[in-house]
Amino acid sequence: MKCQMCEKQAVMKLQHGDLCKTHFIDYFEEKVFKTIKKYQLVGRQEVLCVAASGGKDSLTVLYLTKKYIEKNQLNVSLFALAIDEGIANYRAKTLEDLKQFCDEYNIVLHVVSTKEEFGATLDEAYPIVNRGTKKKPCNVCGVWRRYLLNKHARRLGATKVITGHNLDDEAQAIMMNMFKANTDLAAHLGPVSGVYEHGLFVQRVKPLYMCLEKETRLYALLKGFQVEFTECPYSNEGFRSQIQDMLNDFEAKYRGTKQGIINSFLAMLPLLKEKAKQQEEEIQQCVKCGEPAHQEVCNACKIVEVLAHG
Amino acid sequence: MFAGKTAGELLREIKVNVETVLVVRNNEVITEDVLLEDKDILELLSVVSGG
Repeated sequence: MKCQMCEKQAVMKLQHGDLCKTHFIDYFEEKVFKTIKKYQLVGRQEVLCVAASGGKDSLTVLYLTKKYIEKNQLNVSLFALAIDEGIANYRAKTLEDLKQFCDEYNIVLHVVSTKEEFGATLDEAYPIVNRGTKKKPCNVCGVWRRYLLNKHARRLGATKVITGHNLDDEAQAIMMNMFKANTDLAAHLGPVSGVYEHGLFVQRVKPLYMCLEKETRLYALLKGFQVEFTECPYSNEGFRSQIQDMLNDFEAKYRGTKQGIINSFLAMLPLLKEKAKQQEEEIQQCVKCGEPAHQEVCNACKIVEVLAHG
Repeated sequence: MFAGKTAGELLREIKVNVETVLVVRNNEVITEDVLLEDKDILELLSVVSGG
């Protein structure tokens, strides 16, 4: 209950000991900076686009990426890009938090909405797209968000997209792919997303890769980031949520379980990427919008087609 | 009702996984091994947010 570095009250129990507020903040920042260096997530000359939602992860990664650039005096510019999917009673508030944060830290913010881009909010689109199925909105949301992030990051000249994915997100994705035998999808995970570089794709990187969700939440709280700590109203649904519960149960009983999953995965990842490179289909350009696609029409445009037919 | 229990024991009693919350006592974050007192005011903050 006392910090292992000093005698102050601890705020977090870690595998190697307890830390007080000051030492936890130092530990957390050092861990993020080490991840950036080890996996070369930020080069000396870059234009970085931080995918931001206004939640704890994106505000934390936005703040720390900016701090890393300043600390190392890099010739790197940074802006934030938010996707407004139009989720009622949720996104408007998180975007407001994000705008305030970007104003406070002097960060340029761009907001792109699905309503303007595709003619519909997520709330309007998914009941039509998923009609007659039990599918949740996440399939539509995932396709549209990835599409808009890549398209507009590239339009704005970004050399990399920084995302706020944390260790919990990654451990869940690894287990989901494991349970469903999606080894090709697993190859796209890791601190640097994707299998190979392509002119139409902006590389996505994850500085919070080694940070537990609980650690990130505590960091955002201790730093006083004004975050509305609400979960996406759709996030309690589906397979990921069950995996999340299972991993939290294991972590509570066997501390270090999530880190163990990540470490095992990282040992296998080069083999998975190599295998995926050999099997990867050639990337085409969507005949409707010109964005990268695995087929003639990209998934984002396919959703728009379904909406057009009601 | 809290006296003699640690924060972790309380969480287990009310079936809340320790990995999913931060425990705030009298406006200070505490670890799960801290002994509680009856007069304590506790707040549980969910760690899951965003999306």
